[in-house]
Amino acid sequence: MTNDKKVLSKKEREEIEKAWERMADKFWKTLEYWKKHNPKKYRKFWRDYKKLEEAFGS
Amino acid sequence: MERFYLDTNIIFSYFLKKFFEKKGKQIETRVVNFLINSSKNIKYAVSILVKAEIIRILKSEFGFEKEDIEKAWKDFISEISPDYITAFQTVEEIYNEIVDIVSTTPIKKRVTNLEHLIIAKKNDLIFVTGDKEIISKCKGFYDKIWSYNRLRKFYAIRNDLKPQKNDNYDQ
Repeated sequence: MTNDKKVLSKKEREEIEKAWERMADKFWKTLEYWKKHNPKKYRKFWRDYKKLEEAFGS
Repeated sequence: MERFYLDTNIIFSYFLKKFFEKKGKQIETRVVNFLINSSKNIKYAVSILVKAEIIRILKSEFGFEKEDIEKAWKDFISEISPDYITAFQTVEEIYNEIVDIVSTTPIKKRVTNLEHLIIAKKNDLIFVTGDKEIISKCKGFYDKIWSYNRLRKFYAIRNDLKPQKNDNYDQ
């Protein structure tokens, strides 16, 4: 079975990529903020992420 | 043909991968790579509950704008092409089933993953979750509950061209 992918227009794609960039900037700033001011949350973020990767197996 | 209802953790990894990629950061993305690659061959499903959970995290943890979140969700739907499951059951019906579970089985965590489980059950989907409590305690209630590992092994076997491959992919 092959799933059909919805094709986005060029304009939609550009807008989506800009949205990802804005979010990535904010995401990164949040991680940096946690690292400096909320290390417990920062560590939890990475612990949860690694836990998910490990749960998936190799 | 099996259809898989994924828990929020797997779906959220898609968004994290995008954020790291946009910042040019390299991290291990085994989960989301699997999701993207496997979506070409096996069918996934999401519900309004998955969408709500993803949006809640993106907004509450990172403060993203509503319009940007909507665009990101649209991109996820476009790339992974999951079926969008509509839960036709009333809240009463769904929670009656949850009451059945929690009154006979001691469940320590909150009921969100049980809500996912009921949606999967009502739509005859295989619920793929990392919630060990659901995996270990709820199979008597609904037997189509798979661990991440089982899904990964199933996919590996499904894509193996060797005809005599053992299909014992149980967890």
